[in-house]
Amino acid sequence: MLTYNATDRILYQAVETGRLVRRLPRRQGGQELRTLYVTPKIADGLDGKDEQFKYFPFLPMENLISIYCAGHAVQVSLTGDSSKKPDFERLSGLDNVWALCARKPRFWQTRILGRFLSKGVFVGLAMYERRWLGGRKQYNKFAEAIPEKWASIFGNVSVLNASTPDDYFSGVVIDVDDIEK
Amino acid sequence: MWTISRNRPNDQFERDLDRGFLRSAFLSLFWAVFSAKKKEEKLTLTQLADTLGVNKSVVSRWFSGDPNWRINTISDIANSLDIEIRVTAMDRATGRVFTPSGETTPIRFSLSVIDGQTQKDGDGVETRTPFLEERIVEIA
Repeated sequence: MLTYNATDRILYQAVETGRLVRRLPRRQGGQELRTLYVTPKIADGLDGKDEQFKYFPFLPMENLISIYCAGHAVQVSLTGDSSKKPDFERLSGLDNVWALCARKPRFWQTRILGRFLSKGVFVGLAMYERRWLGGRKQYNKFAEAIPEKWASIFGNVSVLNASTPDDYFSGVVIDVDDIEK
Repeated sequence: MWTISRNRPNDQFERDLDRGFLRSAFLSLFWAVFSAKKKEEKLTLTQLADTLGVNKSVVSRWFSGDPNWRINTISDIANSLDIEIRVTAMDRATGRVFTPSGETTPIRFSLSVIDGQTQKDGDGVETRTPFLEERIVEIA
């Protein structure tokens, strides 16, 4: 049975008005447990249509998007501990701003910054090469702009604010903050 | 090894995407089983590592990375987790499903659906005329 909830309506409007694009994975694995929405600019970047991202389509990013959408294990840090190299990192000191991190190869690392609208629904609002973001202070300056970008698309719609990785991600999650060493 | 290219996705790109997706499928599968056994049976990474005969840091690194396991290692991990891996393959173009024993034969059966049309007569009284529709359903 199809269900139609507030999240669906909000996303439908954002897509209908051209503010967001649903990004379908290149590999589906039979099911799609999570969804990714991005701005048209990011979609162009991912497809190699943006001169800023000359080496796109980018295998590590497409691979990560496929893994995320299929509900496969993603490595997550809620504490924003980038030393553990998570796929998804909730940036510390910011209001539920996340980075989706394609970390290989090191020089070409890419980040999609965004927020979760609901469980398993990530909205990418800006994409950068990691080297453009510089040190943590400058990185956070870029990330601080994300809530404003969110508001320009969703108005005062609340961002998902939760306390465990399972609250953010359906499917399989590896909590890198909690993994045994 | 993938290469950076300004070209559109090519065969190598697609192959590498498939490789990454399959690697992640095994990693995810084993982590899902391990997580369930950790919760229900208090299994730890140390115990898993001991059963496999490797150092715990090796197992920890597997689940923090993108391991490219050999088939023997996949079998050993499955054995340690006491699970049986069943392999199926689906033809992307046709949807045909194969197992190591050959192609699976879909079960065909007919399904009769009772439906109806509603009509109003001159007095506004609704009458419903049922009809049967037969559909062939296939389950692999």
